[in-house]
Amino acid sequence: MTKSVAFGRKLQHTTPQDISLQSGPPAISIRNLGLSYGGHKVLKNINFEARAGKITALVGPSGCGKSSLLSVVNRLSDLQACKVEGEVFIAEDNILHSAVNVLKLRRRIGMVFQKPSPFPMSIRENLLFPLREYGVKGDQLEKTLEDNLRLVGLWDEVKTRLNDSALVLSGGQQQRLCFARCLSLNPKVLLLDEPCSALDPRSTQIIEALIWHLRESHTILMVTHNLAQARRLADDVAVCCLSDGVGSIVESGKTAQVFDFPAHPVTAEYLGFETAEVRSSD
Amino acid sequence: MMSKAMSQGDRIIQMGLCCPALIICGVFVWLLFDVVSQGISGLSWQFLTQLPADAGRAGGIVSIIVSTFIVLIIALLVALPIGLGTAIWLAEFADEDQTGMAVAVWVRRSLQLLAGVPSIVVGLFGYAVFCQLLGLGYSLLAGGLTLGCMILPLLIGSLEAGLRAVPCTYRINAVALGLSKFSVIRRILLPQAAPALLAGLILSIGRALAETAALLFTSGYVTRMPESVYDSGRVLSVHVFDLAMNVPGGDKNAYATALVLLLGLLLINSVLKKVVNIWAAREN
Repeated sequence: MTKSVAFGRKLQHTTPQDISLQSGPPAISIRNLGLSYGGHKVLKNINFEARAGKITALVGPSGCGKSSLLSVVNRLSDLQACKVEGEVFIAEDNILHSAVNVLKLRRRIGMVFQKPSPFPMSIRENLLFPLREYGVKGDQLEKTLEDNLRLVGLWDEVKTRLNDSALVLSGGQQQRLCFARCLSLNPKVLLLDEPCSALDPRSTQIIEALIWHLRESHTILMVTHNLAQARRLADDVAVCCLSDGVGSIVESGKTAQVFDFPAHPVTAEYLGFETAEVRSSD
Repeated sequence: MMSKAMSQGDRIIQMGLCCPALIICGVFVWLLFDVVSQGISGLSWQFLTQLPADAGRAGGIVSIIVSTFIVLIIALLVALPIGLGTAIWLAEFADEDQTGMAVAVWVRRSLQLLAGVPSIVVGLFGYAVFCQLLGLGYSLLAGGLTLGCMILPLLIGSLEAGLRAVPCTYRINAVALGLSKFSVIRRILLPQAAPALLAGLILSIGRALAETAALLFTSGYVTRMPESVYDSGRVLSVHVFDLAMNVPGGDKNAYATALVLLLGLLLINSVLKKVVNIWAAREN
C-alpha cells in the first residue's frame, strides 16, 4: 500500500467501505510500516501489536517518529506530503487501503493531542457540533453531552456555564473537554499524543485516572515521554529509537518485562539514561 | 508612557518613531476639520431629500445618494460571493495538489495585477466590456460590476489572510474527529476570520465609495433619480468632482456632499461591525 498526498488532499473518501469496529475494542497490528517525507525516510520496518482493550505506550527519544507513527493509524498522515508503506490492521481491516472511508475511520479512532485545543465556541457546542455532524438529534444530543462530560469528570465543574466559551477553561479542563469531545463519538480506539505533557501535576493525575478508566472499553495507543507514566498506565510498551536518522521499534512487550528486563541494548541504554536523568533532576 | 528602564537612545528613537504617527493623525484631523467646517453649513434635511438643481449648485443630492447606494450594492453582490469563494479556495483547497497550486499562482498574480491597475484603466475595461460588449450602456449596473472587479483584490486578500491566520490546530482536531471540511469552514474558520472579513469589507466599501474615474466611464453622471439599474446615474464621488471642477459656485455643495460621503462611510462601518460581530457570536 503506497500513498503520496499533499496537505489536505484526500480528506474525504466517499467509498462506502467502513472498518468493522462495531463490537468491542479491536487489536491494532502494524506490519512492515514505513513512512517517508519527500524521499527522506522517517520510519522503517515498524512491526508491533497493540492488544485489544489494553494501553500500549510508545516511548522513545524526541524526533524518533512516535507522533508520526500515531498519525498513520487514523490516516492523519494523509494531510502531509508523505509516503506510507506497509499495513495497519485494526481488527481484520487494513486501514491504509484506499477504499477505506477515512471520515468514518476517524470517527471510530479518537485522537487527543498534546496541546489542549477545544474549538473556539461554547463548551456545549464543542461536543454538540461534531455530534450534529454525525446526525445525532434531539434529546440524544443533551444526553450524550452530559454523559461524556460526567465520564471525564467535568460535568460538575461546567454544568452551570455550558454556554461559556471553552477557551476560558483551564488547561486541564480543556484537555478533559477534548477527551469528552472525542469520546462522544464513541470510538473504540484512542490515540493519545502526549496528552499530559502540557498539564500541571493535578490535571495530569485526573487525565491519567481517566485513561485508566477507559482502558477496558478502548484500545489505547499512547505516545509519552514520561517513563514513569508509561510504567503506571501501560499494559504494553513499544520502544521507538533512531538508527541512522530513521525511527524504528526496537523492542515491544509487556511493560514490566520491557522496563525490568530490556532485551535490546538500545532499550536498556534509553531507559537507563532516562532513569539517571530523572534521578539527577530530583 | 516611557519606561524608566529605557535608555536615552531608545527614548530618542521612540520619539522619532512617534512623530510620523502624529503627522498621520494631524493630516486626518485637518482633512476632517476642512470637510466638516466647510460642509456643515450646506447640510440640511432638504439637501438630503431634494433632487439636484442648477447643475448641483442648488437643491439636494437624493438621486445621487440613491445611485451611490445602488452601485455599492451591485458591487458587493458581485464581489462578495466571488471574493469569499476565491479566498476560501486559495486558503483551504489550493495547496492540496500540484494543479491547485499552479492555478493558485496565476490567480494570485491576476489579483496583484488587478490591484495595481489604475482605476481609469479599470473604467475603460468596464466601458468596453459591460457598457459596449454586454450592451449595458452607461448604467448603474455597468458601474457596479466595474466597481465589483476593482474591490475583489482587497476583499480576497484580507479574507485569505484572515483564514490563514486561524490556528492549524483547529483544522487538525476537526480532521481527527472526521468532520467535513465544509462544516469546519462554516463553523470554525469563517467565524474566526470574521474580523478580517470585516476589515476587507470596510476597505472595499471605502474604495468603492471613493471611486470616481472608473464610474465616469460606466455609470455616467446624469443627476436624475434612477428608475432601474439600467439607468445612468451619478454617484457621490463623481458629484463632488463635478461640482468642484466644472461648476462655478458649486464648492459649498461639493463640501456638503463630501461630508455626506464621510458620514455614510462611518455609518456603514458601524453597521457592518455590529452585523459581523452578531454573526460570529451566533456561530460560536
